[in-house]
Amino acid sequence: MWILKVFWVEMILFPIIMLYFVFNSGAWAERTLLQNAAMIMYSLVLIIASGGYFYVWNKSRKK
Amino acid sequence: MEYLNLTNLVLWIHILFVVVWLGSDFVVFSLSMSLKNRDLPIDVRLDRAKLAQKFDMWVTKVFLATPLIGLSLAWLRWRSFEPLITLPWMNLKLILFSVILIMAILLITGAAGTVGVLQDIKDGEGDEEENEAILKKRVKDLAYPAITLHILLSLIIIIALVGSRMGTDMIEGGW
Repeated sequence: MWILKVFWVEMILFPIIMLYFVFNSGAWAERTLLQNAAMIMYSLVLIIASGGYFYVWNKSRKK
Repeated sequence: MEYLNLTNLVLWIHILFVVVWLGSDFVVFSLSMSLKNRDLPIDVRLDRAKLAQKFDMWVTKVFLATPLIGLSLAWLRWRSFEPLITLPWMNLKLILFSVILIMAILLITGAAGTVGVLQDIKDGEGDEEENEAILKKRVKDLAYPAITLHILLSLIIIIALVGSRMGTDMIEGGW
């Protein structure tokens, strides 16, 4: 289904865009607690999205 | 007449999409929870599962469009994406939204198959009690990320309303 393909593309691209914005805001020590928390959270989203995509891909391949 | 500009139009579209997203998600949640009700005829439960699946596709479309509209809104409002990172209330919104993304991934990876289980119950395939237990577990397991998502989205709405109103100008930082 095309919408699910868009879903996975956005789940990978959106965290990358957010991480790019946070990285551009300065070094770790220069950033606020909230900015560093956002960076950690979007890194986590990226890892979970990659894992989720491979889980779904593997499940459909086995079928 | 000063309210009639592209920024405000996009802002209202952003608000509308969030309302549609939250509202439709409640419908899907309510339909999904009713699938556990064994007092309902199996045809009704199956129809509800198919309806929830169709509704969920619209929820997914609105959910995917909302952050992109949000980014467009940020650009129209500030002509830069920097305030997304520099404004504390916007930071908080983004952190909560990242948890929403994780919940959405959990929901998408675990949602498929409910209609199949109900179809098996209807066709008498496999053990009925076992299929009912699978269905119950699936609905219950998906309820946790769905409820978390609803709470976080409500919090984001409150933060957006309070954050954008506090201070004289959003560009100066809100909080």
